[in-house]
Amino acid sequence: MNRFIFISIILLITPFNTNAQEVEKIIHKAYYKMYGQTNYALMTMQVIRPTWTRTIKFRSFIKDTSKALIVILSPEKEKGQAFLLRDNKICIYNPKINKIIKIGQSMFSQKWLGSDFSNDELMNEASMLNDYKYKILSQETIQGHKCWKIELTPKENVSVVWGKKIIWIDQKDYLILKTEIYDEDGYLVKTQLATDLKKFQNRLIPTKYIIFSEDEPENKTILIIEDIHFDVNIPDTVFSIQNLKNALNINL
Amino acid sequence: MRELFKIAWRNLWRNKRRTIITTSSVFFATFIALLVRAFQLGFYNYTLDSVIEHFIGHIQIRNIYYQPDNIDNLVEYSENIKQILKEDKEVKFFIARLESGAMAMHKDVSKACVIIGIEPVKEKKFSGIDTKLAKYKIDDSSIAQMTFLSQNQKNLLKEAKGYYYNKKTMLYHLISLSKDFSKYIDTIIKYTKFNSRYLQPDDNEILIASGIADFLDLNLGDSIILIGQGYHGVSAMGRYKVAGILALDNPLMNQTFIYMPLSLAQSFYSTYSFDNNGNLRKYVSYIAINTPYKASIRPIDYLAIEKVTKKLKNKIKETDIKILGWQEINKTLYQQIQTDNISGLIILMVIYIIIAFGVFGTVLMMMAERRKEFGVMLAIGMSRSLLKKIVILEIFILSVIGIILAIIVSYPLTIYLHYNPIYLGEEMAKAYEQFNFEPFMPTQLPDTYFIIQPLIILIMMMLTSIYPIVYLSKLKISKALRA
Repeated sequence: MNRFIFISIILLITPFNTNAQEVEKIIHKAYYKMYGQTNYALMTMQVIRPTWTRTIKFRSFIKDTSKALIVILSPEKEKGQAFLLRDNKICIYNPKINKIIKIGQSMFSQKWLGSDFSNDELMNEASMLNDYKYKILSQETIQGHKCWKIELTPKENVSVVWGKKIIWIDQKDYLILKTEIYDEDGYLVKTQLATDLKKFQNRLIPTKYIIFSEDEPENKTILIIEDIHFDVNIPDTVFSIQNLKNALNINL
Repeated sequence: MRELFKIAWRNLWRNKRRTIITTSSVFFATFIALLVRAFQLGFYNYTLDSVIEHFIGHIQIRNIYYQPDNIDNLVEYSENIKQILKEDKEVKFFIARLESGAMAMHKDVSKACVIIGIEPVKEKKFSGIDTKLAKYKIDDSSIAQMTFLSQNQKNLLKEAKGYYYNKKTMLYHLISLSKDFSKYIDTIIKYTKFNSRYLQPDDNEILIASGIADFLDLNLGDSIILIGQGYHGVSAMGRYKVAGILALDNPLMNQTFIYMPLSLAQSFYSTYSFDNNGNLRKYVSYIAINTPYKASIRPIDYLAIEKVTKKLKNKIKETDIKILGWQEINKTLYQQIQTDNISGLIILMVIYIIIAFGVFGTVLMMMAERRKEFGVMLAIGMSRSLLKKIVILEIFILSVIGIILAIIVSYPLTIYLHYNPIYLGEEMAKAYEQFNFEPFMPTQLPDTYFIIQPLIILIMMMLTSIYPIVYLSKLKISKALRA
């Protein structure tokens, strides 16, 4: 009898008790599926508030999990504004004041251009590869996809602005379909949902991301990937500070 | 009655010492009560005057969803509203402001600050911000030029180096260093001129508080970079020249405030939009309105302001606005003043009671001393009621003399202290700064409290005369004569 209970407990635990290496593999696979070694994309962001909405169009370039660049294309007033992530710092260039401003990691949780996305979520997604410990919590079905529910807690001595994240990764295609972000006190801050799966260069990815914060449920931001190219050779000079002023004219 | 008065008057001066003692205790009671009240009311009025009358306004028009730290919910400063406010006779003055936070940068240093877009010409009349412009600054070269000072004085003056002043604050700071400087103040001013300039409506330049200037190491003509978030998520960035430096009294404001013309602030924060007909709509944080009435703690004054608020609500039909009186806008200030007022009244009550018992003591003594006298009076046929009347009249005359003397002395004193408020000195000033109070103690100009306080004291005094009445009714002639 005792043995039976023991075995059944083991059996109950095993599906969740995938060993650490395997979880890491899942995360890596999901990340590279979404971002590739490099990618550049055209995106539209809609900030939705009860009394107004606002649309921002921008190009983004990401390389090697450590470099990212975003250039605003419209609205006209913000055209040419560029954000560069490098060496764990974000440099912001504004053509109006013709100056580059650097912000440190403590500011990464700040809202990006008044949207519900933070600097961290837009430019520093790769931090999920290096800065967190992983644990599979359970398996759940989201939008008809069977997913792993994985908890990400920051490693010690790593400066991460969030308390923890919980992500849902599709078991078949390794797509991150849902993300919950918690603050340091363990409260849910915001939720991100990924929908509208589409194929780009034979790679199936979600193209619509909806994010909403917990304390203001009427406020949400939608990010749509209009076009994306994976694993294109992007020269390192694109991610140089000198290039920020020219970021509008990057041709690949 | 005349006869009675004569007798009472003569009775009083038969024992001069006793009369003087009692009168002076009434005098001090009234004097202290008046002065304490003058300072209390003066403090409330000073606060209300600087905060409500000259900054927040009696009434404000805001967006329904207005939040002080959020620039997304603004109110349109439309011709329609302007017209309604202009036509209303009970609107004495109105201005619009645009307020929001931003980060100020110069070289590699940055500082969080509050940006206020103002209508320069009107703001001058409303908050008198132009009088806060730093006109003087002491630096090494100006100290060197002042040959009339001794070396010792020059060294003292070096302690005041680097501060920005208007004339008043400079005088106070220098006097706190050494009394001698008061003689030289007019000459020192000549050597330390600093050319801050006030804003023009279409200016591209800004005014910054001296705290920011010190922190970012800015001087006139330097350019400062401002970064913030504009209307509906637009990013706000700009580079502006410093036209002037402000020496603001309120320490918190002096660390954070930046003033710019309203139109410049509107373009910085992009607080405009086009409606369906292509018309430009410009937005502001709030429209502040002053009425001909006063912002005071008296309910009557606020009722008058509330009436205007209601009237405006009926006139202005826009659905996305709310109109608020100052007690709703600044609830904390109102409640603070209310509680402080009550505790102030309690202190006054204690003063009254102490004084009343003091006077009661003298009355008691007076009655004991004059026991034989009363006995004789009654024995030779004076009616008890007449005697009572005389004693009451005596106490009344005593009190009135004391009270009138107190009013005569405190009246000019309160007026003087109103126009020359007590400066609390550098030490106290620092303590006050932590609470964001300005280190001055002005008094309230004499008004109704100059009638109410003496009246209360008179009533208390007359209450003490109950004892003589009872005493005289019970006085046995046989015993009194033997006293």
